[in-house]
Amino acid sequence: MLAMVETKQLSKNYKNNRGVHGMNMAIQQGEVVGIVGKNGAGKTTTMRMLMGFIHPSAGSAAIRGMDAWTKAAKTKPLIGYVPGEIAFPDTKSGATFLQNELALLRANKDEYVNELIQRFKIDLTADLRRMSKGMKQKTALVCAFMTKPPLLLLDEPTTGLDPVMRDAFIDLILQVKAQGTTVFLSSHMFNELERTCDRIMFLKDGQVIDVLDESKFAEIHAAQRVTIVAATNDGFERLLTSDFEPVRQDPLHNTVVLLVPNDDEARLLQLLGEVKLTDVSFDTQTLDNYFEKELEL
Amino acid sequence: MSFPLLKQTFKSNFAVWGLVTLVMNVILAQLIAMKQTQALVAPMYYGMLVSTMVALLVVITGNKLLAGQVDQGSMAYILTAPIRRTTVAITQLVYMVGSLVVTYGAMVAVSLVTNNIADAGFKTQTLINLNFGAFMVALAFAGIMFAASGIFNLSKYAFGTGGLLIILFILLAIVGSFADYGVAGLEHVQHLTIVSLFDYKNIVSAGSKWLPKLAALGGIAAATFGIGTTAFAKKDLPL
Repeated sequence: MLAMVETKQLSKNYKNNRGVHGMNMAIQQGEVVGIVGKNGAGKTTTMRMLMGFIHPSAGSAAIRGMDAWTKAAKTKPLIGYVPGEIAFPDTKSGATFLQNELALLRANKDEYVNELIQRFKIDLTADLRRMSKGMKQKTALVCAFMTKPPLLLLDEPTTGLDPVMRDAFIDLILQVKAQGTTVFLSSHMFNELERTCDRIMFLKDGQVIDVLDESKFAEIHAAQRVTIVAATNDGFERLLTSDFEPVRQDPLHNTVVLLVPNDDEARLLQLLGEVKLTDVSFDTQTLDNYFEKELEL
Repeated sequence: MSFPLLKQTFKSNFAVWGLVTLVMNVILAQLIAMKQTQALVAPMYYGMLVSTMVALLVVITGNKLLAGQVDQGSMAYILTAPIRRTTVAITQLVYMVGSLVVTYGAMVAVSLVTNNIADAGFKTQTLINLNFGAFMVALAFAGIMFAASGIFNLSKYAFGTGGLLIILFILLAIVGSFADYGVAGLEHVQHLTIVSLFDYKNIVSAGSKWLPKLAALGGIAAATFGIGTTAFAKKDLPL
């Protein structure tokens, strides 16, 4: 069976080595795949090439076997898209906008559109231009989901959403995933993708440098980040000489963050016994922690 | 062509189009109706005013049809639909040309009716030809602006190239027109602007030189509309 999304050596070269360089990926139908990278890593460029908005410098991208650039119009019935930057046309209200968009898509307003509108609590009578960032984002989401396309390309879809709406969004992704929809979404944070994604690709300087799947998620979570504040500088020095990997250190405040595997508590307790402490706290390691150096968090 | 898009384009441009069309027709009717101004209809209205007013419409609309929407980002919502870029450009082109046809069609009707009522004494054929000539200037302007709008992703560049060129042509036409008022040396300036390809003097004197000149304007329009459509279909869009 044809992959829903497939790229072969997909590249777009911009000045200063920006862009995307030789990306190979295949997303099968029903998969939810995330792409993470800091600003300028090439997430939006990738999305735009999949949408056929920009022409690859080399390589190719295909949506269900159709070239994303040459067959762009033919791939569009399969795709729901949320652009990285939301800018609506000059229409009065959200209702008019959705109506216009349905006309362009040659679809009719049905129950599902209303369900989406209610799910995101959108006021469609509001002036489109005066909407808050979050409200615009939600309207854009409704627009992408409303025709139930088999593929969703979402460029930083949660920007501007409050935590409640972020949860509503995650529920929606899980719902369409259960219906067999393929989703490709980007973010600059791993944590918000983890709940929905089967796989997360880590993009840096236009190249996929790591792909994480569920077993890797579990492996990363199987460690604690222990933040220890020693009472004295001697204690601080002692903590640094331990076997545990110090992932962060702050000599000024005698603070050290150690990475401790979940089954290694005994050695940790022994270490803690040797040092006079001011404070200790435990956090499960997250994907963002794991990649903090590359993400420059 | 996409009818839903044409409908949306029509709606979002209606106000500017309606206003400019109204003003152009009112001024034309006024000049034909009043005895003292009838002599000015050809040299002032068709020689200068009509091109200046339509330039305003063409520059604003032409930018909005493509570059404005790419710049703003809302073009993404048109191209999310299964419409080819060439179809988008052609639909916008059809709107641009169609709206000008209606504007100048209305001017034909208004000029003929006013001429009749006010008994201004213009020949019917002369008025039709004058309006047709003015329409060809508008079409060439529209093509130039459309090409700029198709080539550039930023409104400022579309205005700075297409818009500026159109204003330059009008200014040169105005400067050149002083050749008719005794400054013979300025006649050469008339060769620098496409506005002078609309030879209203030749139309008024029922000559035969004006028609081939209008064909040149038609050629400019065809070429620039083609450039705009092709450029828009092939370029990278930051959407």
